[in-house]
Amino acid sequence: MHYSSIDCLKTIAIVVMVLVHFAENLSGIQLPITGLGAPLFTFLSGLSYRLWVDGLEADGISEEEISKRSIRRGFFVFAMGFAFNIFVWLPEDTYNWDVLTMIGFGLLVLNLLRRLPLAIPILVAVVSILVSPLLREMAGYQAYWESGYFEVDLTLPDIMIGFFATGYFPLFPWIAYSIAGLVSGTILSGQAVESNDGCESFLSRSISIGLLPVFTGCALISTSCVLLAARPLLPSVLATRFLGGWHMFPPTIEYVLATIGMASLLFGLTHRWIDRNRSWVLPQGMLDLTKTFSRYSFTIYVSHHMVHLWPMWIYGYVTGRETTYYWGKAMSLGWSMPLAVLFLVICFFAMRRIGPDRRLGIEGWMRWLCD
Amino acid sequence: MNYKANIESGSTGSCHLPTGLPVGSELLAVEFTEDPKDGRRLLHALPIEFQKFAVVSPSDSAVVADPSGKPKRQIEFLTIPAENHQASESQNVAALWVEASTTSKTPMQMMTLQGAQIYWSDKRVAILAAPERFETLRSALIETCWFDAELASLERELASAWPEMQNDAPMAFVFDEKSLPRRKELQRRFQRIVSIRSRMLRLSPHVHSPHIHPSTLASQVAERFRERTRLLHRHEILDGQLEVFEKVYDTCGQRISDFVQSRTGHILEGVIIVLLIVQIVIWGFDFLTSLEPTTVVQ
Repeated sequence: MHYSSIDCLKTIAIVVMVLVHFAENLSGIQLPITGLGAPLFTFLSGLSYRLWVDGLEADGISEEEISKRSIRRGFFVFAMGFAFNIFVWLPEDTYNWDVLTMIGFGLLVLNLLRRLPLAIPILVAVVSILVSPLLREMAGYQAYWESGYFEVDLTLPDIMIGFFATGYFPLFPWIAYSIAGLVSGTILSGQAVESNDGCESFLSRSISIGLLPVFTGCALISTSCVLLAARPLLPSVLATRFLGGWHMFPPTIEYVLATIGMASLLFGLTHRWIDRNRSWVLPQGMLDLTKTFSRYSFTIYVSHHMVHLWPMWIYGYVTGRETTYYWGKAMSLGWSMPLAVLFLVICFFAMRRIGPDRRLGIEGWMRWLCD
Repeated sequence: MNYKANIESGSTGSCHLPTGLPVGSELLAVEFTEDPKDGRRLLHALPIEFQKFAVVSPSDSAVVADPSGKPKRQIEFLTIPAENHQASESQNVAALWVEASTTSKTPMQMMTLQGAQIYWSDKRVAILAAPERFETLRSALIETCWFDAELASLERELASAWPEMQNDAPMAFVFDEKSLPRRKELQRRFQRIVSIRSRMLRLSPHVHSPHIHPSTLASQVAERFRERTRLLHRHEILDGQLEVFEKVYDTCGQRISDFVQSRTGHILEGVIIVLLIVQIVIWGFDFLTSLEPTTVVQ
């Protein structure tokens, strides 16, 4: 089943990430929306995975084949993450554990979780959130972030520690986003079956009109706000070692709860207002465009890094400085933001020309190789 | 509703007495209620297991809806006084009146017995007989008409459930996590089948009842009516069909019960496995953080 709300949210996530990355990498400035795109993107990867699996099951594809495809896709995205790190962030950042490696590994985990009762994935997500401060504390998180960005010695323990707890997008707690998406998709698809029968319960009706994700999202955001407000009043062990305030690096419990809540809330609202009333909320042309953005989200994610990082690396190299010399100080925000907008405008026209039904870019390679 | 024949209404409406009938003719719209004490004229009490009473309908409409939205079962009875049913004009009027309510699937039926003549369809019954026999004949016909209508209702209900049952049949073999949201739906369908079976069994003694000795006109009319409407055969066929449904939904129920029970166990096992994995991760992580950085990766 295809939901336009997911396309819209993926488009929003891409736009947020483009703006944030241009501002951060070119101007060294963090926008107020920093840290909101990646959680949404990861949540939607889990949600899309569930709907993709449902589509395959509806087509009569066997469980074994679905698992094989899932694993191939997971490894493909994981490998793309490494290729992205090597070619875009340069080889010394091969093991910085970017969002693509996280999503790729997440697909492998989701393949294991998708057939289990919902209680198990939820438990895994909760445990992954709760255990992450402990792992960071054990690893000495700050030692890996002394310069303000993730630095890792090329030793096996450090690389593994980065993957689990201290990298940019470590497994703990980021796997919780993918699982939250999977759970939302499972509840949604379960509701679709139940509502066919014409006698809906209050719960299924709430899910159907997007209220359950809204309630869940509000509850998580409220919990996060309460934790943020109560933090100064808590014992210092809890306040500093377990909670940590509002940070994306490291992803604190407050940040994770609020951003999962935000993703859930946005999904609930857009599912309510776009999927159920699509004729008047957004025109068809806009829906087609978001569908195209959604279909090529990986490609746009990789290409927007290439178009603003490569020139900077090349310029640094040509001027005889360190390749990454201009990172964060290449230009002012007054230049980087228009460039980000220009990139999005070019994407807009390119996407409109390509249309939603062609198979190009990284997604095309993935389908060719994995399906 | 009670019209006397000497009122020349001239109306052709469904509940209006047809013209050209002798004095003493009477048209009653009969409906079935669970509460006989609502001021309406009680005509007949159905056997106790049905908890229904035939009363004279208070409204002009032939079909009205009950509070649940379903149309109420209603039959019109026209009684015409006739000595040895030899009044050809009355016969014609009665036949035409009944025929007006028939369809190609429910043609008009007619029987003549001991000086009484009866025309009927599934909505109308016309009785030509001596006035002193009206009461017993009408009661016998009300009862058998109810049985026929009840059986027809069960047949319709079961016939409409075939596609659903065929969709549900695979779940009698495999029930998994994805089928779980359909549990309530299956439960409702199982309850409906049980309800049909229960209604059918309440009909059984009346459909299978042996002939009464010594026979009366009313008992003979009822027996003849049951034969003409093939109640016995239809009841047996319905019984056979219902068995298929019961097998499917019984097995589905068993599968669901097994699945839900084992699922509870699986969740518990899953929780234990997750906690063990967490313990292993923490242990492994502790091991990693305790290692000296000697293993250099290229």
